[in-house]
Amino acid sequence: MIREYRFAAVVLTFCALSGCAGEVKPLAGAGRGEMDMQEAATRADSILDDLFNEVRPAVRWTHGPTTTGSCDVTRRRAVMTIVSAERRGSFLGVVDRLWRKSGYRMKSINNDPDVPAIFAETKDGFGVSLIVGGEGQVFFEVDTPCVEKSEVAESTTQATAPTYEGMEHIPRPNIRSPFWSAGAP
Amino acid sequence: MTPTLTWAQLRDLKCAELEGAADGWGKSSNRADAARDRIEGQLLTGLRDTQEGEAARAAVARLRRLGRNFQYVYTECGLVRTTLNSLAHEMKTQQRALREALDDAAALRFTVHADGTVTYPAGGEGLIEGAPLRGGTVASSGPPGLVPPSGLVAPNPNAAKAQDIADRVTGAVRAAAEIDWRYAGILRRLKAEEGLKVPDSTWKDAAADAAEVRDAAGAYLEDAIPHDASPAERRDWWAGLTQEQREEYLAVYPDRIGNLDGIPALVRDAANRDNLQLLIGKLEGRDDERSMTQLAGLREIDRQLGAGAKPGEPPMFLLGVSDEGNGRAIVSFGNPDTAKNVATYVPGLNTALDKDFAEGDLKRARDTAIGARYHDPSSAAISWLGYDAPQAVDGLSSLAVAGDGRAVEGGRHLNNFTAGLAATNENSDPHLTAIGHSYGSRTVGAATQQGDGIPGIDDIVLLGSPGVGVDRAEELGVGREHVFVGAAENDVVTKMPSKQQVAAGAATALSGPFAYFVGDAADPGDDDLWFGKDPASRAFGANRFPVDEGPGVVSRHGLSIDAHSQYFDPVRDPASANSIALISAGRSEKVKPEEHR
Repeated sequence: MIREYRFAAVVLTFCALSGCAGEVKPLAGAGRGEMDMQEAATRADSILDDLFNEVRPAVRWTHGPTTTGSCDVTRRRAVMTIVSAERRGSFLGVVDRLWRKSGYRMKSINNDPDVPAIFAETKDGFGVSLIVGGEGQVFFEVDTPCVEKSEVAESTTQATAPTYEGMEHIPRPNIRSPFWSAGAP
Repeated sequence: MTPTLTWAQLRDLKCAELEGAADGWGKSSNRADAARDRIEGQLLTGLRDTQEGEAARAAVARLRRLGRNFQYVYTECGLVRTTLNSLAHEMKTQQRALREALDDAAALRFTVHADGTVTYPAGGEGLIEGAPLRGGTVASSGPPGLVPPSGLVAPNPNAAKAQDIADRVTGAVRAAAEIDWRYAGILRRLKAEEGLKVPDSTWKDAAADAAEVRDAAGAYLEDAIPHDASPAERRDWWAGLTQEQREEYLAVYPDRIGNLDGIPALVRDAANRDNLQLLIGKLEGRDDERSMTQLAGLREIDRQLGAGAKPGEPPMFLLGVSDEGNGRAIVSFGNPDTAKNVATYVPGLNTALDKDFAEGDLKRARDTAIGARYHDPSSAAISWLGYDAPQAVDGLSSLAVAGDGRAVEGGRHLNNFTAGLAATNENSDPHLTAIGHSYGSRTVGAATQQGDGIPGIDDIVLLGSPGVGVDRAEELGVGREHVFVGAAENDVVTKMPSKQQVAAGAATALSGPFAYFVGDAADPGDDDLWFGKDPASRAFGANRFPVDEGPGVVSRHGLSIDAHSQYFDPVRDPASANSIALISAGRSEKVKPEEHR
């Protein structure tokens, strides 16, 4: 955060030269509540739990890597059920409806047929994303807002597909579902 | 020191034995290195992945310490090895000089005595009788040139030759004694503290040890490092070394090899992990702000390197680290030599080697690698702090940010770096992307204008750019369809007016919003920024992708400049992060376009 704050000094210097208007107040408290990074990560886990609990028929998933910055966390899950190209639209529709029903704000959508994506945000400022990657694999990410710094433990939610310990790459989807995989080779 | 070193001892010295001893130390060093790899790569990973609880945590801590011990053993044994090899190298030089002198003496039938004096036979012609002049014995006259020859007597011509031989014999012995004394001191100081802990103070000693050994071994090793060669030539140089030579370079010059573009990523990473410990030892205990700031950044990088990769996480490679200037750190997520897609992220304004960089900027690169791998598993992303980015705290030499110098200098380093990536990448046609954020985009722009442009780069992404120094996307040398721009509406950096506007505003001596208004008249299209045409403008001609608007400059929390740093960070804008990931993965045709400004 210090970096951003310092930047304000440049803008000010610049404003002094060019004469633009602006008022400066400290950044204190911006974006930070009582929540810390572990609590935010736990909240991210529950956002993802809620989603997978409601997708029907159920899909199997495994944990993707968690990444942490100086005040934020990104949680990830990879869908291991094969979602065929012809079921892709249905899957996106299910997720879209669930998120809208939960009151999430839809922020942007990539409607590419191969690699579509949905980007939404919860009311408490968590970014929620669905990204279709290579071979139709679906990935979910939850990004936390900037909160108090803390250690972050791995998610305690049990994955419904293997967890691929020690592997650099999570494989492409390899679990068939009579519904979601319909028409897949 | 051996004050009684004789020429006979020097003649009979078996340098091969010294080299044999050096080999032994080298083997110990390698065994320690292998042991460390086993601990960190297998034991620790296994423990972390399968065990929980107090006992497991204690075991992990002990194993990490053991790993550190082995790393230290590796470093110090490597230094002992090079010291011994260098000693042998220097001794051989003196031995050769001595042998040549002795051979000359033998050819002339002179006698070299044990004390270094030389007896010569009668020779020449006397001035009076024409009889040969008497023979005699000479001792070394000390350093040459101090005793001028007397011109009064015609000497026995053998006398001068004998004098020369005596000087050479004694000179070689003296030099050898000095070398022996010097190396004995170095070897004596290459000793570890008692006990199992390897605290920072020990690493500080190790840094001093390495410095001393490299001073001594300069003649033996360093001259051969091809600093002036191209990255491709350096790659070939490294490939042509023997395993033993490589190990010695890694032991003595981890900083040079670790930061040398053209050296394979695995080698740089190994060198820089040692270099990191040496730097931490060096900065530890200093109380100036710069050292403390850099130390915090280095410790955070060290923590991440030690944390071990989780499933699906791209492994971390330390491709560069140094305390030069504002600090240097080049970190790759995913192996850039094996990945087909490699993206290099160049940070900008106010970036320096500090904790903020180690947390925030590394997360950006790590997230980019993970996001690119959604689309193509053979992808890596690099956070490249290989130059001194402008710092607002540089003071009111104000707007260092507005100067080109750092960008031009940084662009030169960036070009070397990507030439290195292209040289060591094992794919036949790797896909390389340069991503410039803030002033980093100006640096990328400067790199494109040097030589033949950025070596190997296929796509360019400009984020939060204050201008890149050219007015049209095609001038960047990759084709305008391969230039991508993300600019948030509320990002003040991308709204900094051009120099022209500022000048016009200042000239009217108005203040407040009027100045800007008047300034606008000088740039009717309103698409000029500080470093030239707004890359997000239609006139620039790049592909623009959607970026979250971000909070306004004046938000409810006061002045906010958050919009300037959210492009990568899925925390704030996963949509633009996914666009960057698609471009990095070579699937830029899938990026959703946005209207130009």
